[in-house]
Amino acid sequence: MNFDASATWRLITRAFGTNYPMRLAIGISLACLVHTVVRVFAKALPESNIWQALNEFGTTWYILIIAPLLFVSIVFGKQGAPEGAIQQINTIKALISEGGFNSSQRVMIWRSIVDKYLTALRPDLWGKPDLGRIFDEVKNDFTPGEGHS
Amino acid sequence: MPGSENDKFFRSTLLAPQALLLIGIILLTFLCDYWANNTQPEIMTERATSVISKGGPFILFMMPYFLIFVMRDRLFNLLEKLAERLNLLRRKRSPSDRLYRLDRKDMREQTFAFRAFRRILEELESYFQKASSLLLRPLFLSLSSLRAWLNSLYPSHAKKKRIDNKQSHIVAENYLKDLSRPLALGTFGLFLLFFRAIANNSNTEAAVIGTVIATLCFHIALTKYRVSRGVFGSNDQEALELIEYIIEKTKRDGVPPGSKVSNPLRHRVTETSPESEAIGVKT
Repeated sequence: MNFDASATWRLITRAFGTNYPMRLAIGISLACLVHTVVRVFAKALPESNIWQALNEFGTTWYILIIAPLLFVSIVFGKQGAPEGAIQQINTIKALISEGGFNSSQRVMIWRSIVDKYLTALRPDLWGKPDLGRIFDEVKNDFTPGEGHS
Repeated sequence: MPGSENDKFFRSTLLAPQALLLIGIILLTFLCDYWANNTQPEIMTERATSVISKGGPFILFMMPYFLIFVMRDRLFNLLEKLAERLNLLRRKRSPSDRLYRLDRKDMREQTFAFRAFRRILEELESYFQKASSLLLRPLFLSLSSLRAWLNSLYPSHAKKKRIDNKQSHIVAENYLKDLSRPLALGTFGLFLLFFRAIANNSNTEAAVIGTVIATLCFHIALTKYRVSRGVFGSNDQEALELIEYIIEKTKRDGVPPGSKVSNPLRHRVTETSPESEAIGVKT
């Protein structure tokens, strides 16, 4: 699988919470549990309409409603990459596509960016490195004729 | 030792209570299933009342402890901010705020209230770890004995595994290791639900859960393949994932999770161990 297909796969599965598998599994099992409890109540209280109505929905609906609830804290919380980093990655992506780099150069650029990010992230100088500056450095490394700045 | 294996398994934060929660929910689902299928409506109402009256207070009693354990980091931060506001913490005089932030952890240690609170949380943590390892011990004992038997059959593979278990200096390999543990546990839980759906003849549910399982399996296989080839981190999504991981681990451990992003295959050819080491002869 080439790198673009892998990126697309990750972009799609990221939205479904593949990077948080335990949360996803707990969400799905919670949905199954809620549906089963509803089923129990529907059977125990046959005269109650609300339980019968809720029991009409399949487990898929319960999964679709309950599983995303567990990701609310991730979507609105401060876990994961900071918003700034996501924006900068998107900007770098746009710049790379405009820069006319071929596929192998793109691969090298992304690897160098993460590598330089890791090097810039020293524990004694804690603070997030500027991805834009790192991209400029990488671009200078990869653009022939301009030299290193 | 199986005990130490368990400890190593649960060392990653929050995996033990999450595993406990997942297995608890699944067991409860099975129980409700059995209940819905095998009991008369009249008896069910009676039993539901008795279960709610007996189990409800217990759950209500245990819930705060569980919440404190899960949200301990946030509670620390909240208390820290509160203490700062109330001038309970002596602020160290440092030239810049960045250095001050680095000292925060030491400052926590200085206050008696934080030491006491930390002690309570540590006790709770060990309690939950003990509880979870006690519940999951049969599973891990059988798994570790199975692995020991496999290792005796293939000693060279065991040697390789031992080398792999060491903390790697490659970030992508550490990322894979940290991703595969919860993924394996989550997939195991989903498998149980999948078989339950098949047993209940609910095909749509089985199809949905089966799709999720297949997605998770493919995801980990793809990640494993790309990490093993040394090409992980060579597109925007993977770069973002790695940056996310690096930030998270640096925040948690204080140091970045490695010194190198990935190990290209052409460099790995030179990293073969000597013949004597592979056989297990110690010189």
